[in-house]
Amino acid sequence: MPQQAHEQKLWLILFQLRAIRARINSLAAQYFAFSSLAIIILAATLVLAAAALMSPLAFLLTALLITLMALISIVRVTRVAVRSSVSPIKAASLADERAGLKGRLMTVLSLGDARRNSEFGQFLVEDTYDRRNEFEPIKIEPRWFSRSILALAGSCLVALLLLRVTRLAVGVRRMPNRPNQVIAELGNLDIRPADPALEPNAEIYADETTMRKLANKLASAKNDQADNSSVSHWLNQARRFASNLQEKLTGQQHKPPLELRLTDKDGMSSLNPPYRHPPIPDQNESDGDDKGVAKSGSDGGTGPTPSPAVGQLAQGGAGLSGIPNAQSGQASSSDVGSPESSATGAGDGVSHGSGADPEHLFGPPASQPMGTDTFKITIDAQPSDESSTAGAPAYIPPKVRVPLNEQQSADEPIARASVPPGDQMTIKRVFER
Amino acid sequence: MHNESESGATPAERLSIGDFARIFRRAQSEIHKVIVGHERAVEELLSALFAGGHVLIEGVPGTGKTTLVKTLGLVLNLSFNRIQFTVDLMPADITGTRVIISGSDGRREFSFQPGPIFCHILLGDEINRATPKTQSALLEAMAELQVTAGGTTYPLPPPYFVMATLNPIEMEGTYPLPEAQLDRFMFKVRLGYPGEDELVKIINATTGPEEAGVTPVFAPDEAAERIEALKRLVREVIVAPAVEQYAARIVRATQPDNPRIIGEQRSPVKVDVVNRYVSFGASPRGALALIMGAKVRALLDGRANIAYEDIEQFAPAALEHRIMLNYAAHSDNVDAATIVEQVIKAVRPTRV
Repeated sequence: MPQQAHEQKLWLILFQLRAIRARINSLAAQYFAFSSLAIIILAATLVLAAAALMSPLAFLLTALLITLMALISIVRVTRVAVRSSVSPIKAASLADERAGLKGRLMTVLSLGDARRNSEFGQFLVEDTYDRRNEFEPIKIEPRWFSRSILALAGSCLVALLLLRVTRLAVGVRRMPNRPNQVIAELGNLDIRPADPALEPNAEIYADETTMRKLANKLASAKNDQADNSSVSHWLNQARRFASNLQEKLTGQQHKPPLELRLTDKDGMSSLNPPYRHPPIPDQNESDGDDKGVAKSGSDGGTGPTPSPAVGQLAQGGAGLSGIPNAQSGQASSSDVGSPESSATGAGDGVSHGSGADPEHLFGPPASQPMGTDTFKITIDAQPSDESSTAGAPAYIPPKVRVPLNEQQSADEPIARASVPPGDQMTIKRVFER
Repeated sequence: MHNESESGATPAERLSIGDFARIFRRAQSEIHKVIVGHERAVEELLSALFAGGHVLIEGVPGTGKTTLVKTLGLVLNLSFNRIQFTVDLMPADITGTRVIISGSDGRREFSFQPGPIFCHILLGDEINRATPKTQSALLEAMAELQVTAGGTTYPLPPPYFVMATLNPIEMEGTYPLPEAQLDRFMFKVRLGYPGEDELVKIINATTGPEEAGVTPVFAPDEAAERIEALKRLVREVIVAPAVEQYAARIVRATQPDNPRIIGEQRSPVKVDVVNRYVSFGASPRGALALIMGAKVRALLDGRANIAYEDIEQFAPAALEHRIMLNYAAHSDNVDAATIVEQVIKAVRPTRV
């Protein structure tokens, strides 16, 4: 009978120890689950915010960094959780320490059958049983839930705030955009597309300095394309990948990057343009020696007016070696069209801009509607709004095509027409004003 | 309470954990009637006695080393001998020798005359003043409780308890104890100078007309038997495997990484100061001393098991004299106490 009572007491001690172990291991598991979840939520939120706010490359780097840090944190959390989980002997040791039992539980647990029934074994069991209140599971580990649940809650809160802030930030960035206007940022080049709904191979117009910069940029881009192992090549690849990822994460459709190429109406074979403007039956065509814009410019009063910028660009040369004869002097002396066509893009004498010489406003009427074949420029750039910071994703305005009524005409260069002499002075005065 | 008046049944049958603690505390209090202060030293001394070990007492002159040992002999009511070690002391002076004795019938024959080593409690005063040859005469007695003289082995009566004193100063003309001899001592007890209050008490107790007397804890005829029973009780204390491993790990950590000495199996815990300052670490006897001392400590605390804290409490006494420091340690003024402290700090986190 005493032996049975002894065994019963021993069983109760061991049962209490098992409860302690279960509680400690439960906390370790909770710590792992809650902490991992908190890390994942926080990391995902940060990635989403980065996708909404950053440019593709910056987003890619940030996302990689966040993912790496999250992985490291999860590994660390796992290690801590594994260390926090306890074996039976470790649980007994922990209970001994917390209850001040000086190794009693650990020794009871390691008692062999022979030793268990010895005088000292029985004494130890009795002694430990008498102290069972000191090592109740709730006293050894009073918590039911791991404190890491606070981290999870905090993480959720931070995620909500971050998402809200991100949404607001994105909304604020959209507001300044004017409808139907997109500005393409090309580094430090100030280039505005002619069409708000910018498509690949769109035409843009710029002054001569800009054109020269464009030519240099294109030459550089061409070199980069030739070298597949160059850094820029991989950067472009990364940018595309990041852009796709951003689209998936944010749900916003980004237009593909526009390719920018300089070309003349003959195609600028050296630049291999992806888009060729429909050939315009122009007097320029008759000058077989000249190509591209320079050739157009050399036609004097019969052909489209090459802009001074074009002439400069032709001299500057990068990618435009096919227009060596383009001289600004020629253009200004012979062209009856608008010399400011460099700013407006219509190289065929159509006047859109300002700052041109009013003396060249008038000339013989064109035989047909003028084209914009002086330059055809394909933009290699991400469209972006004016207020955006460098590298930020652009707001893409929706395409709106409204049918014209009978009183409206298409937004295209107006063919030069004959102006009555009596009106010419009026036009000049208005132009000069 | 058990004393000589309670003798009757076999002591081993009557003794319990509570009895052990009571006897121990009583012996302690009796000793402190004469010895002022040195509570820790007295506890370590008694612990070594009940754990079946021997003690090396180190202290400057005048700190009560000899008085302490004498008092212990009186309190335990055991036979007590004292040997003053000198440089000309010979082994036979300790162990005894065969002499020619004339019988009543006129016959002369060799007879073994036991030396002072034959007793229960032996005080070897200033043991480092004797030559290593004489010092080694104690080895067999301490380890095997027997003495061999003239080809004959004579057992020593249990309990057998050797206390040797060392004078750390006046080192001229002394012979440091060899490592093998040092290793035979379970604990090394240090006696420092008493504090001011303790000194006043010593003055009052020793300069008055009455000398402080002690009451023996055991009756003379049963003292040995009861002490042996208490020693058996100590061995009954249960040790968890984790605690045994902890003691072993501490001892291993005192050993520097030297494959020629410790073999290829290295200690899982590396302690920088050990590798830098220790020539030889503690021997396996160090681990035994740790466990036995901890067992006594557990019984004193009313437990049938030992705890990590018990091991740590006896680590300095059990390990310091077993650690051989190198010249770098002497140069940097690093002592064995520092080494043991660092070792415990390093090993403690590896507890189960």
